[in-house]
Amino acid sequence: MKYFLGTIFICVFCLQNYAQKKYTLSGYVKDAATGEYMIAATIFIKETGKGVVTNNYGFFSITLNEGTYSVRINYAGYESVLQVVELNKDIRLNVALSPKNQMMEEVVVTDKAPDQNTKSTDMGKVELDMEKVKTLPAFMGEVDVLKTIQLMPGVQATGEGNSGFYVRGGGPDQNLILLDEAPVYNASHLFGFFSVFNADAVKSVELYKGSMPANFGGRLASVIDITMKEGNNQQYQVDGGIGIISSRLTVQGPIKKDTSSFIISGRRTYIDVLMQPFIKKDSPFKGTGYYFYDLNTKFNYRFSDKDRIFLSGYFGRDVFNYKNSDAGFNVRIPWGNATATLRWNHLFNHKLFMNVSTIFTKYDFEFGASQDDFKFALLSGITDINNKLDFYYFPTSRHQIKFGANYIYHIFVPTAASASQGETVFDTGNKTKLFAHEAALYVNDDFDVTDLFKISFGLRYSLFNQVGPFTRYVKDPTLLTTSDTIVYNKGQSVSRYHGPEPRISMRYTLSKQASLKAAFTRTLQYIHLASLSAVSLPTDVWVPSTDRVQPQIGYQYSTGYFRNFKENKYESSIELYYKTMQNQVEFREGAMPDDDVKDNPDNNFVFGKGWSYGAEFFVKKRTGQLNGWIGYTLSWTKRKFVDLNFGEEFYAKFDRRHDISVAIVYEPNKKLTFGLVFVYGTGNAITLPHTWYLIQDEVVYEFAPRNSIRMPAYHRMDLSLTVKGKENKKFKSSWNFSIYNVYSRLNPYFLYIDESGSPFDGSLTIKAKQVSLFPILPSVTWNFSF
Amino acid sequence: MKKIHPYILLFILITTVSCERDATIDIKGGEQKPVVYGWIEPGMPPVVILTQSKPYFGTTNFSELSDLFIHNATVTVTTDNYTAPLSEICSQNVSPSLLPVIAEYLGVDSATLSQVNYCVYTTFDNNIFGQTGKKYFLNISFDNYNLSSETEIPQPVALDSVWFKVQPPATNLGFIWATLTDPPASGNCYRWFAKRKGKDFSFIAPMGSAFDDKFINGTTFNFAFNRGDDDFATTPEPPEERGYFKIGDTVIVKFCSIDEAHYQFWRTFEIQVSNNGNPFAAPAPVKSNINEGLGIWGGYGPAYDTVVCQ
Repeated sequence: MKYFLGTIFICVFCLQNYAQKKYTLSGYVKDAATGEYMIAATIFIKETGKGVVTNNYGFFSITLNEGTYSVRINYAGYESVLQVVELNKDIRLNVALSPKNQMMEEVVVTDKAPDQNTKSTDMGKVELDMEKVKTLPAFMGEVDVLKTIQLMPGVQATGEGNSGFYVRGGGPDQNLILLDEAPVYNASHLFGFFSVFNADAVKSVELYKGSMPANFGGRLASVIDITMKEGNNQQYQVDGGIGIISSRLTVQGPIKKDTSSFIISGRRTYIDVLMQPFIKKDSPFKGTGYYFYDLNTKFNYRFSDKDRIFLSGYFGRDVFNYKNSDAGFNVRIPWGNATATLRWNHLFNHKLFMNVSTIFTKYDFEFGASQDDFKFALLSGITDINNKLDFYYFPTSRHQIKFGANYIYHIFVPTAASASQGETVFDTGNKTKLFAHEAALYVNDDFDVTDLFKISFGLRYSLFNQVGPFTRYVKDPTLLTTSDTIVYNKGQSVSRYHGPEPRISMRYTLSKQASLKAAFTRTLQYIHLASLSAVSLPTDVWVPSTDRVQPQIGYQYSTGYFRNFKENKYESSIELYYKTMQNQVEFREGAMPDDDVKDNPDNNFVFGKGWSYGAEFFVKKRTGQLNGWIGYTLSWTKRKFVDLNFGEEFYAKFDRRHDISVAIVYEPNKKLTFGLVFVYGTGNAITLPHTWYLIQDEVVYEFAPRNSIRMPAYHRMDLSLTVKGKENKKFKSSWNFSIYNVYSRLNPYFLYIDESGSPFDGSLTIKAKQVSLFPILPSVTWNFSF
Repeated sequence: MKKIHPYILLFILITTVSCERDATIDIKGGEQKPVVYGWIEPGMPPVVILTQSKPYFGTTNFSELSDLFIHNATVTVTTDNYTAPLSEICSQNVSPSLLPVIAEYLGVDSATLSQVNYCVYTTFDNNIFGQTGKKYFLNISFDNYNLSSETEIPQPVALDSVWFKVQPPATNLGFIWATLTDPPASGNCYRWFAKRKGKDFSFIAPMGSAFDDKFINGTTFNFAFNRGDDDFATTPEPPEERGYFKIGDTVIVKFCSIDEAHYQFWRTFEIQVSNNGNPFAAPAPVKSNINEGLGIWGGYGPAYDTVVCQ
C-alpha cells in the first residue's frame, strides 16, 4: 500500500508544477472508409516535437500552452493528415484517415514517421500490422496472428502440435491472451495448428513481453492484447476466403450510419466432411472425424462523442469423434472457448476518459467415452466473470496516467470424472469446483521528465482469495493416502494472497535515432496450468492458488539499445533480460491423470523455481518493396525442484539456446506479393529412458535425468504468393498460394523408445524413434471482398 | 477392467497424420542396477529371478540375454523368524522332463528355458512355502549390493460369480465377466489372471490386470476382462481371435489379492508398457518395492474359478 500512496503523491505533485495557461486538444482518430477507430495512431505536434498515440478506443488527448500548432496525424498504411490548430480553448479534433492508394505509395513520403521504436519507453512491445500478417505464408492458408507473434525474438514457437508458446522462458500459462479484454485460456485449435483468432475479425494485435503496463496483470511472461474490429459503419462489406480445409466469411455494416455498426465473422474446417467419401458406409469407423469452428461478433453504438458502448463475443469449438462399431467403442472430445465483453466508454472532459467493462470467459474440455454399457466422462475447465474500470487521464503534455480497478470471480473445474456401467455408477468423488476472487488496483504514469528522459512507472496491487465450498484431502506424507479431510463451507476463506506489483521502465534518448531503455517488473500470477504431458494440450488443467499452491512471483530486469537507420526506414534493437520465477508447478514424477479423481489435483503437484536469461536481436525494414524482419534470440532457461530430478537443476523443456526467425515480404508491383518465413530453434529438452531391464518377458525402462536429452533442431521455410485479381469498386479478390515446409524438413514432434522382437529368441531390438508431423504442404486460398 | 484413456485417443488422432523414422540422437546409458522379479503364493515355494539392467540400446542376442542373470548371490526369505536360503537353479541343469512344470510356474515357455540359461533362486524347504496372511522378508547380497524387500500374502477375495459373454458382432468370441463384492474396508488391491485349459501353458495377466478399490470400495459390481496375449505362442492364432475367449474354451480364472506396494508395481508397470511411445503421457517410472534395486517382490492370495465358454 505504501507504494501505491507514494505513486499517487508523486503524480499530484507533478501536476502542481504547471500553472501557465494551457488548453487541451483531444479527439478520436478513425478510418474514413470504415469508421473503425484506430489504435496507436500518432498525433505529432510539430512545434514541440512531441507526440501522443491513441488508446485502445481511438482516443487521444494532449495539453499544450496556448498557441497555434501544426498537428500531424499518422497511421501506417494511411494518408497522414496535417491540421493547423489555433489552441485558445479546449478543442475536440476528430480525424478520419484514408487508406493509402497503392499507386500513391510510389511517391516518397518525405515526412519522417514519428518514431515509436526509439521514442517510447516500451520495452519488448510489438505491434502487428494486420495487413502485413496477411501477406506472410500461412499454414494451410489460414492466416494466424499468434503464429506471426511467434516470429518475434524472445517469443518461441513450440513447433507443430503444441498449443502454447513461450515468452522469455515462461510457460504457456504465463501468457495473458486478451480478445477484447476477455482472457482466452486456450488460444488454439487442433493442438496449436491454428489459433482461435480469425484474422478477418481482428483489428489490432499488441504483444508485451518485457515491461507490461500496470493495467495488465495476472500473468508473469507476456500480454497479447487483441482488439476485434468494430464493424464498418459507412457501408455493408462482405469478406471471405475459400481454402482447402476451411472457409470463412465476414459480414459487417452500419446499423445506423456513423452511429452504430456490427460485424459477424465465422470459420469452419471441413476435413471431416471431405474425409467422409473415403470412409466406407459399412466401415466400423464411420462417424470418426475432426472439425473446428469459430464465430466472432461485435456490435457498437455511439450515443454521442462522449458515450459509446461495445458488445463483443467469441465462440469456438473443436470436436473430435472416434467411432469403432466393431469394438462397440465411441469417443467424443469437444473443447473450446466462449467470451463475451460489454464495454462502455465515457468521456468526462477533454482530459479524462473512462472505460467500464464486464467480461465473461469460459474454457472447457470434455472427454466422453463409452464401450457397450460402460461409460466414462472427464470434464475440466475454467470460467471467469470479470469487471474492469479503467481511466485514462491526460493532465499535461508530459503525463499520461492510467488508473483503474479489476475484479474477477473464477470458477475452476480442474478434473471431474464420472463413470458408470449399466445401472452401477462408480464413485469418482464429488465434482470438485474451486472458487476464487481476484482483485487489483493500479495506477500507471508515462512521464516525460525532460526532453531526453522519459519514465513510465506503475503500481498494481493485487489480491487473491480462494473460498469454499472446498474439501481438502490431507495426505499422509509417506504413504500418500488420505489421512484427513478438511471441509470449507460456501464462502469460507481457504487461502488468501496479496502483494504489490511495481513496474518501471525508462528511456534515455542518446541521439535523434538512438535510445537506451531499461525496465524492471514484479508480477504475481495466481492461477496455474498444470501439464501432465510432454506437450501442451487441451487436457492441461487450470488450477488456482490454494492453501497448498502459492502464487507465482516473477521478477524481470531488462535493458536495451534501440537504433533506427536511414530516416527510420530500418529499426533495430538489442535487448538483454534476466528473469526469475518462484512457485512454479509441475506434476510429481509418475503422476497419472486418474490420480486427480477423489483427490485435490494439487496434492499431486511439486513446487520449484525457474530462471531465464538471454539476449534478443532484431532488425526490421519498415517500408519499401522489400520489407520484413530478422530476429535472433540467445537464451537459457532452467528449473529447480526439490522433488524432481533428485533436487538437481534441469533445463526447462523449452530451453532454447538459439532461435532465429526471418519474415520477408516482397511487393514488386501492386498485383503480386511474395512472402517468406524461415524459423530455426534448438531442439526441446526431453526425458527418455536410458536403461532397460526385463520383468518376465516385458521390457521395462528407467528414465534418464529430467530433460537431459535434446531433440534434433527444428527448422522450416515457408513461401507464399498472393496474386490480386481485377479490382473494381464493388469487388476485390485475390489468390493466395502457400507452401509450408518448402524443403520438407522432418521436424521432430516427439521421440520415443521403440522395442521389437522378443528377448527370448535373440531378436529384441530397442531404438529411439522420431515422429514428425508435416512434410511439404502446399495450399491455396481464394479471398474475396465486396 | 477395461480402461479408456483420453491420451490414447489423442495419440490415435496425431498418428494418423504423422510419419515416423529412426531418431538421430545420442542417449548416454545410465547406471547398471540389480533387478528382482520374485513372488510367493500359498503352498508354493518362493521364487526370485535376479537380473541386471542394461544401459545400451540395440539388438540383444542370446548370450547377452544370458549375461543379464546374476549368479551366486546369497538370497534368503524370512517369515516368523524362520529364514530359508534359496539356491540357484538354472534351466540348463534341469532334466528336460521337468521343464514344462517349471515353465508354467515361471510364465516362460519350456522352449525358451531350454535355449536360454534361465536361472532362478528357489527352495524345496516347505517350511517357507507361502501361507495366507503372513509377511515374507527378502534379502539378497552379492558383490557390494545388499537388497531387501517385504511382502504379504493377503486374504483372497473370491469372485461372486464368473461367466462368459459373447461380444457382438462376433458370434463365438467374447470376454470373461465377473461379479466382485469388494470388502467394506478400503485398500483392497487385486490382480487378475486367466488360463485356457489345454491352450495356454501358464496363467496370463491381460493389460489392466491390477486394480484397487479406489472407485469401487465396498460395492458389488460387474467387470470384464479380455484375454491377455500369450507371448510364447508357437502356433499363430487367427488375428480376429486375439484378445477374445472362444466358445468351447475352458478358462481357469486366478483372481488374486495383493498388497498396496505389489499393486503399485503392476499398475505402474502396465502404465509404462501401454504408454511407451505416447507423447501425451509423462515419463512413467515403475514403482519398485526393492530397496537398493529395481523390480518386485510380491505375494499373491489367489481364488480360482473355472468357466466353460458356451
